[in-house]
Amino acid sequence: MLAKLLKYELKATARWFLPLYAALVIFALINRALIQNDPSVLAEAANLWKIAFILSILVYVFLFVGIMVVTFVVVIQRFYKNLLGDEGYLMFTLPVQTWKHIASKLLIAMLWNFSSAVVGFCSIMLLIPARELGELDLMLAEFQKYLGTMGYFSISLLALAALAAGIIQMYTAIALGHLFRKHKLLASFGMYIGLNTVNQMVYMLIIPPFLNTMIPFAEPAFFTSNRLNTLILFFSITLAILAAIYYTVTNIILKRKLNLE
Amino acid sequence: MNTILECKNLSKSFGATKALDGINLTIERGRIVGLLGPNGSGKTTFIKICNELLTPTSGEVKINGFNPGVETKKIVSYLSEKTYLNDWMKVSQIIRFFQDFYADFSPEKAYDMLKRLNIDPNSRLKTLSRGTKEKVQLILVMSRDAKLYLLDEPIGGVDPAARDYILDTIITNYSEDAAVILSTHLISDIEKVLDDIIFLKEGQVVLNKTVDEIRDEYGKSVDALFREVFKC
Amino acid sequence: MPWELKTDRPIYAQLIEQIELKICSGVYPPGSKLPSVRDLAREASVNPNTMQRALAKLEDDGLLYTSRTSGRFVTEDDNMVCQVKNKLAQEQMRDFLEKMKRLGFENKEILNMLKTILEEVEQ
Repeated sequence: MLAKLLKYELKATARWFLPLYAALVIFALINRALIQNDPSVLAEAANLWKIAFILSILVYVFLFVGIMVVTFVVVIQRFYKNLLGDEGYLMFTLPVQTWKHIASKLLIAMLWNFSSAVVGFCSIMLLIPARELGELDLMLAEFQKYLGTMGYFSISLLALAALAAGIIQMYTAIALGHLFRKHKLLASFGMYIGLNTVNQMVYMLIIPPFLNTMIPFAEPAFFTSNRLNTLILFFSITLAILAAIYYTVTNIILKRKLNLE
Repeated sequence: MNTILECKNLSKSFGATKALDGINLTIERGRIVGLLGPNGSGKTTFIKICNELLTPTSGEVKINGFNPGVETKKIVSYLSEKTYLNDWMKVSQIIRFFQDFYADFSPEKAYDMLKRLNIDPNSRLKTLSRGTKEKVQLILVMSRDAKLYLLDEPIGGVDPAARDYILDTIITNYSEDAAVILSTHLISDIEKVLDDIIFLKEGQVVLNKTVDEIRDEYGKSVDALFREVFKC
Repeated sequence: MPWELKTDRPIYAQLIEQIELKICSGVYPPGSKLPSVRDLAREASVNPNTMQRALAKLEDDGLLYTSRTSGRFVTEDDNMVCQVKNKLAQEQMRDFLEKMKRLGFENKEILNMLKTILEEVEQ
């Protein structure tokens, strides 16, 4: 059943993203073509070309920001509209456990966040002439110096956990807001801020003791790649646990306290 | 077991308001039951609880022996008062959706009904009028081979011809194995199709008899009796 | 012949009368096969259970019979149909006479009025 939910969630959301991704890539290529390899060529060109170029860059930036906004909005809107709006009457009468509804929304939301980031990054790569990319190699070398190959794994884990926790926190805020009779949207917003405070408290509680075990030895040489990676893994686990708690809270609210209009 | 729904002392409060107050009901398979009462009497609340869209404050309801949950949703077909269809799908896609999630759904039946009502399966739900969307919803609900049909105001916002079609569909779909619970306040149209009548007033069951028992005892139609009992 | 069901009398009883009427007036002639319970219920827009009860009662009375494989049939016994016809006719007549009496007419007057109307209808 979860697979089916994922399938439909993907279908419902792809219509927003795929055209935008395509447009972004196309405009990246257009801009790349217009810049060619020598920007000074443009300074000489006719005004018409200059205007076209500026417009094209603007559209690209607009699309880039647009994708970020759409990704954010779609994540919230899918949860709010499909589960707590009128469509909720359809979804919650399907013979499917509540946690699977949350999982399907979360996983697809993570997917789109990930792909938006990848597409955005690729479009930048397409835009920038090849010789500037030398910088990238240097950056990767620095990265490996501090974190080693293990760093790729731990940073990915951190990103994943942070993404999951970030999204599920929004769901929890929306679900908590749903408990209010009036001004649900406002309540959700307030709840989100409240949950952020909760996050801060958790970080305050957990991180200092952990760091204390390290601080006596805190000289730069101490921070080997292993220790840094452990620190990063520790953050990841904290975020994962936070995500799990928010997931459970959301599940309980949707299961026991559902009250569709 | 011939009882498909059993309700014991079911109560539901929203804050200080008591929507349902100690409901006791037994519904047998093969019966078409009318849940009648004015707005606010608790009909929709009761139906929502049967669908796990609300949780009871106290008491319980069991469908085929189970509390409302995944097992009951497999055998309960629900027509909500609201249109719950999403905008972006075509009619054919929502049929596929129902087919994917409900093992007892018959696409053939659905397409047949669509044809008879002149609804194009390729049209987008977004472009359909409200009345047509309601018909599509009804088709989806009645194309399932469920054990319990919960229809919340199925003939409310529909024109008389569609009303006749809906009642006709209910009769055609009749199965000794299944029960239909229909909530409405448009009684005269529907009286002849019902077996049992339940009057719900302020969250309580005030009457539970068959249509003919009422006509015999009171010498008037259920509609007429309703107007008396619920006089403003 | 459309189904005429009044709202203040039990449906079950009215269905029995309506079916008897249809049998006597030739809509369902003796020996003919009746539509299925479901189809009859749809025609009359009534609950199938109620229709089934009415048909069962008519079977008990002997007006209908069920062949296990082929369905429900009207009896071939013309006498029986005749009897029901007479019964219905008598009910109609008693009803009519009661109404006329309430209007204040005497038996002789009623007979004369009937004769006049019958002659008119004949032309």
